[in-house]
Amino acid sequence: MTPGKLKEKLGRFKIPESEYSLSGKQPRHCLCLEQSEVGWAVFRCTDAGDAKNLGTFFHEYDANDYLFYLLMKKHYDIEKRWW
Amino acid sequence: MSVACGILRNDAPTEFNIPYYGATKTLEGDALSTHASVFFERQTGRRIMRLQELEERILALKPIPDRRCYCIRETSTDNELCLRKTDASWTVYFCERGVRHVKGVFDSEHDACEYYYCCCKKASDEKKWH
Repeated sequence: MTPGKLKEKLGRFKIPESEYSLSGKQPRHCLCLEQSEVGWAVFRCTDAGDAKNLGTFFHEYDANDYLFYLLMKKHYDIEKRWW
Repeated sequence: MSVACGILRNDAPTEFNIPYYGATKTLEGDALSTHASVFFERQTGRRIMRLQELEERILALKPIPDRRCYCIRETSTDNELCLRKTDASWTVYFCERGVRHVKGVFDSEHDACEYYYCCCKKASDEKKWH
Protein backbone atom coordinates (compact mmCIF):
# COMPACT_ATOMS: atom_id res chain seq x y z
CA MET A 1 0.00 0.00 0.00
CA THR A 2 1.37 3.36 -0.98
CA PRO A 3 1.60 6.20 1.60
CA GLY A 4 -1.09 8.10 -0.29
CA LYS A 5 -3.39 5.10 -0.30
CA LEU A 6 -2.77 4.57 3.42
CA LYS A 7 -3.78 8.13 4.28
CA GLU A 8 -6.83 7.92 2.07
CA LYS A 9 -8.01 4.65 3.60
CA LEU A 10 -7.41 5.78 7.19
CA GLY A 11 -9.52 8.82 6.44
CA ARG A 12 -12.22 6.81 4.68
CA PHE A 13 -12.57 4.44 7.63
CA LYS A 14 -12.53 7.35 10.08
CA ILE A 15 -9.56 6.21 12.12
CA PRO A 16 -8.84 9.06 14.59
CA GLU A 17 -5.62 10.87 13.75
CA SER A 18 -4.72 10.82 17.44
CA GLU A 19 -4.24 7.04 17.20
CA TYR A 20 -1.39 7.12 14.71
CA SER A 21 1.57 9.07 13.42
CA LEU A 22 3.08 8.71 9.96
CA SER A 23 5.93 11.03 10.86
CA GLY A 24 7.76 9.21 13.64
CA LYS A 25 7.71 9.25 17.42
CA GLN A 26 5.07 11.18 19.32
CA PRO A 27 4.69 11.97 23.05
CA ARG A 28 1.34 10.22 23.29
CA HIS A 29 -0.12 6.73 23.12
CA CYS A 30 -0.30 5.88 19.41
CA LEU A 31 1.02 3.68 16.61
CA CYS A 32 3.86 5.22 14.64
CA LEU A 33 5.65 4.74 11.35
CA GLU A 34 9.17 5.97 10.76
CA GLN A 35 11.95 5.44 8.28
CA SER A 36 14.98 3.87 9.94
CA GLU A 37 18.51 3.07 8.82
CA VAL A 38 17.57 -0.36 7.53
CA GLY A 39 14.04 0.27 6.36
CA TRP A 40 10.75 1.25 7.94
CA ALA A 41 9.80 0.75 11.57
CA VAL A 42 6.33 0.36 13.05
CA PHE A 43 6.23 0.97 16.77
CA ARG A 44 3.93 1.89 19.63
CA CYS A 45 4.52 5.07 21.60
CA THR A 46 3.27 5.57 25.14
CA ASP A 47 2.27 8.66 27.06
CA ALA A 48 5.52 8.30 29.03
CA GLY A 49 7.51 8.76 25.84
CA ASP A 50 8.59 5.13 25.51
CA ALA A 51 8.52 3.28 22.21
CA LYS A 52 8.01 -0.44 21.67
CA ASN A 53 9.12 -1.81 18.33
CA LEU A 54 6.41 -3.84 16.57
CA GLY A 55 8.36 -4.66 13.42
CA THR A 56 11.02 -3.51 10.99
CA PHE A 57 10.26 -3.71 7.28
CA PHE A 58 12.47 -3.40 4.24
CA HIS A 59 9.77 -1.95 2.01
CA GLU A 60 7.58 0.99 2.86
CA TYR A 61 4.54 -0.71 1.35
CA ASP A 62 4.81 -3.63 3.79
CA ALA A 63 5.15 -1.26 6.76
CA ASN A 64 2.10 0.67 5.58
CA ASP A 65 0.09 -2.54 5.23
CA TYR A 66 0.95 -3.61 8.77
CA LEU A 67 0.23 -0.22 10.34
CA PHE A 68 -3.12 -0.18 8.56
CA TYR A 69 -3.91 -3.70 9.78
CA LEU A 70 -3.06 -2.84 13.40
CA LEU A 71 -5.19 0.29 13.36
CA MET A 72 -8.14 -1.31 11.62
CA LYS A 73 -8.33 -4.34 13.88
CA LYS A 74 -8.96 -2.03 16.82
CA HIS A 75 -12.11 -0.71 15.19
CA TYR A 76 -13.38 -3.42 12.85
CA ASP A 77 -13.75 -7.19 12.83
CA ILE A 78 -10.66 -8.51 11.09
CA GLU A 79 -12.15 -11.99 10.77
CA LYS A 80 -14.93 -10.79 8.46
CA ARG A 81 -12.95 -9.28 5.61
CA TRP A 82 -9.90 -7.32 4.55
CA TRP A 83 -10.59 -3.74 3.83
CA MET B 1 6.18 -6.94 36.29
CA SER B 2 9.71 -7.27 35.06
CA VAL B 3 8.88 -10.63 33.47
CA ALA B 4 5.98 -9.14 31.58
CA CYS B 5 8.19 -6.38 30.34
CA GLY B 6 10.91 -8.87 29.58
CA ILE B 7 9.13 -10.46 26.66
CA LEU B 8 8.61 -7.09 25.05
CA ARG B 9 12.06 -5.60 25.29
CA ASN B 10 15.40 -6.29 23.71
CA ASP B 11 17.10 -6.18 27.09
CA ALA B 12 14.94 -9.01 28.39
CA PRO B 13 16.54 -11.29 30.98
CA THR B 14 17.62 -14.66 29.64
CA GLU B 15 16.65 -16.39 32.88
CA PHE B 16 14.39 -15.67 35.81
CA ASN B 17 13.94 -17.10 39.31
CA ILE B 18 10.45 -17.95 40.54
CA PRO B 19 9.22 -19.35 43.89
CA TYR B 20 8.99 -23.14 43.63
CA TYR B 21 7.85 -25.31 46.54
CA GLY B 22 9.64 -23.29 49.18
CA ALA B 23 12.76 -22.87 47.09
CA THR B 24 13.43 -21.05 43.83
CA LYS B 25 13.51 -22.38 40.32
CA THR B 26 15.34 -20.82 37.41
CA LEU B 27 13.37 -20.47 34.20
CA GLU B 28 15.13 -19.99 30.89
CA GLY B 29 14.51 -20.53 27.20
CA ASP B 30 10.99 -21.70 26.27
CA ALA B 31 9.96 -22.15 29.91
CA LEU B 32 10.74 -18.52 30.63
CA SER B 33 8.95 -17.41 27.50
CA THR B 34 5.80 -19.38 28.36
CA HIS B 35 5.80 -18.18 31.97
CA ALA B 36 6.23 -14.58 30.85
CA SER B 37 3.44 -14.88 28.30
CA VAL B 38 0.94 -16.23 30.82
CA PHE B 39 1.91 -13.54 33.33
CA PHE B 40 1.62 -10.81 30.71
CA GLU B 41 -1.80 -12.03 29.54
CA ARG B 42 -3.14 -12.12 33.10
CA GLN B 43 -1.82 -8.66 33.88
CA THR B 44 -2.88 -6.88 30.72
CA GLY B 45 -5.75 -8.90 29.29
CA ARG B 46 -3.94 -8.90 25.93
CA ARG B 47 -3.42 -12.23 24.25
CA ILE B 48 -0.10 -13.47 23.00
CA MET B 49 -0.31 -15.20 19.63
CA ARG B 50 1.95 -18.18 19.11
CA LEU B 51 2.65 -20.44 16.13
CA GLN B 52 -0.04 -22.93 17.15
CA GLU B 53 -2.76 -20.29 17.23
CA LEU B 54 -1.46 -18.71 14.03
CA GLU B 55 -1.77 -22.03 12.24
CA GLU B 56 -5.33 -22.49 13.49
CA ARG B 57 -6.30 -19.00 12.36
CA ILE B 58 -4.81 -19.54 8.91
CA LEU B 59 -6.72 -22.81 8.51
CA ALA B 60 -9.90 -20.97 9.51
CA LEU B 61 -9.54 -18.48 6.67
CA LYS B 62 -12.05 -18.58 3.84
CA PRO B 63 -11.14 -19.33 1.17
CA ILE B 64 -8.73 -21.74 2.80
CA PRO B 65 -5.25 -20.88 1.61
CA ASP B 66 -3.37 -23.33 -0.53
CA ARG B 67 -1.14 -25.34 1.78
CA ARG B 68 1.77 -24.77 -0.61
CA CYS B 69 1.60 -21.01 -0.10
CA TYR B 70 2.54 -20.70 3.54
CA CYS B 71 5.24 -22.25 5.64
CA ILE B 72 5.49 -21.87 9.39
CA ARG B 73 7.36 -24.85 10.68
CA GLU B 74 8.87 -26.90 7.86
CA THR B 75 11.80 -26.15 5.61
CA SER B 76 10.70 -23.64 3.04
CA THR B 77 10.42 -24.53 -0.61
CA ASP B 78 9.54 -22.34 -3.55
CA ASN B 79 6.94 -19.56 -3.59
CA GLU B 80 6.09 -19.66 0.08
CA LEU B 81 5.62 -17.02 2.71
CA CYS B 82 7.77 -18.20 5.60
CA LEU B 83 8.10 -17.48 9.29
CA ARG B 84 11.33 -18.39 11.04
CA LYS B 85 12.99 -17.76 14.38
CA THR B 86 16.55 -16.57 14.06
CA ASP B 87 19.05 -15.96 16.84
CA ALA B 88 17.41 -13.02 18.58
CA SER B 89 14.43 -12.24 16.40
CA TRP B 90 11.69 -13.56 14.15
CA THR B 91 11.70 -13.11 10.39
CA VAL B 92 8.92 -13.20 7.80
CA TYR B 93 10.17 -13.70 4.26
CA PHE B 94 9.02 -14.82 0.88
CA CYS B 95 10.97 -17.66 -0.63
CA GLU B 96 11.23 -17.58 -4.42
CA ARG B 97 13.50 -19.86 -6.42
CA GLY B 98 15.60 -20.46 -3.35
CA VAL B 99 16.11 -16.76 -2.69
CA ARG B 100 14.79 -15.25 0.54
CA HIS B 101 13.09 -11.88 0.19
CA VAL B 102 12.79 -10.60 3.76
CA LYS B 103 9.58 -8.68 4.42
CA GLY B 104 9.91 -7.95 8.12
CA VAL B 105 11.94 -8.61 11.26
CA PHE B 106 10.29 -8.78 14.70
CA ASP B 107 11.41 -8.86 18.31
CA SER B 108 8.75 -11.28 19.48
CA GLU B 109 6.90 -14.35 18.27
CA HIS B 110 3.61 -12.56 18.83
CA ASP B 111 4.47 -9.63 16.56
CA ALA B 112 5.79 -11.96 13.85
CA CYS B 113 2.64 -14.09 14.02
CA GLU B 114 0.47 -10.99 13.89
CA TYR B 115 2.19 -9.74 10.74
CA TYR B 116 2.14 -13.18 9.14
CA TYR B 117 -1.60 -13.42 9.75
CA CYS B 118 -2.01 -9.92 8.33
CA CYS B 119 -0.37 -11.10 5.08
CA CYS B 120 -2.42 -14.30 4.94
CA LYS B 121 -5.71 -12.55 5.66
CA LYS B 122 -5.10 -9.95 3.00
CA ALA B 123 -4.09 -12.54 0.42
CA SER B 124 -7.04 -14.76 1.28
CA ASP B 125 -9.62 -12.01 0.99
CA GLU B 126 -8.13 -10.74 -2.23
CA LYS B 127 -7.97 -14.38 -3.44
CA LYS B 128 -4.46 -13.57 -4.49
CA TRP B 129 -2.13 -16.13 -3.06
CA HIS B 130 1.39 -15.68 -4.27
